Amino acid sequence: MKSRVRQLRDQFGWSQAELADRLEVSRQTVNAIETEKYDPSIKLAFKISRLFELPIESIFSED
Amino acid sequence: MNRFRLACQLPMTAAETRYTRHLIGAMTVYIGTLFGSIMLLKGPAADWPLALRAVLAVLPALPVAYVGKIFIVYLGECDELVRRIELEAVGLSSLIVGLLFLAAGFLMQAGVFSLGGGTVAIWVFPLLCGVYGLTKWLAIRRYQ
Repeated sequence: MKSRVRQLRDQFGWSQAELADRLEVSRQTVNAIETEKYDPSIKLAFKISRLFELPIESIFSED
Repeated sequence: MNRFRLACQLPMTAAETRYTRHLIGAMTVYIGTLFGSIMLLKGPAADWPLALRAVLAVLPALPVAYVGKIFIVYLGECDELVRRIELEAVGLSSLIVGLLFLAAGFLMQAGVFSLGGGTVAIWVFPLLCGVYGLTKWLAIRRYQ
């Protein structure tokens, strides 16, 4: 799955650790989502969507 | 190796810290009860009734059972990727160790080599832990 999380995180000026804290996950998880090695659960995707105030489909898309 | 080093350098979460602290405590108790049990069974407890000897022999398994309990608690506390890594590692290591012992059982039945049942049974869990370490390392690499 394609992810815009890194781009959005850069826009907000957050480090991976800061984003991880806000999402209550490990930095490893944020890194894996950004590098598209891990697709987040629906619950985490909604959390990311709420944090960036964007719809899920504008953050994540199919390959 | 660099990837593994990076994973090790990540700060531990509160759940990981708690799990590690309990794990070290449980393994310390395990080593103590294991040596205590062996020494007693070979020494003063040699003449004890069978039921008492059985309890003494099984005693080291209690801290290991506690490790199982704290691992389940840890799985409930860690985030979804870490949980996936742990479950992949446990699943793959169980499969590998199960297959190894199945193959060993067939070889022993065929008379290729021979080992006592007690020796085989004792090595299942330590081998599972060792292979789990390896499969966890592989799972961490996959998500980095």
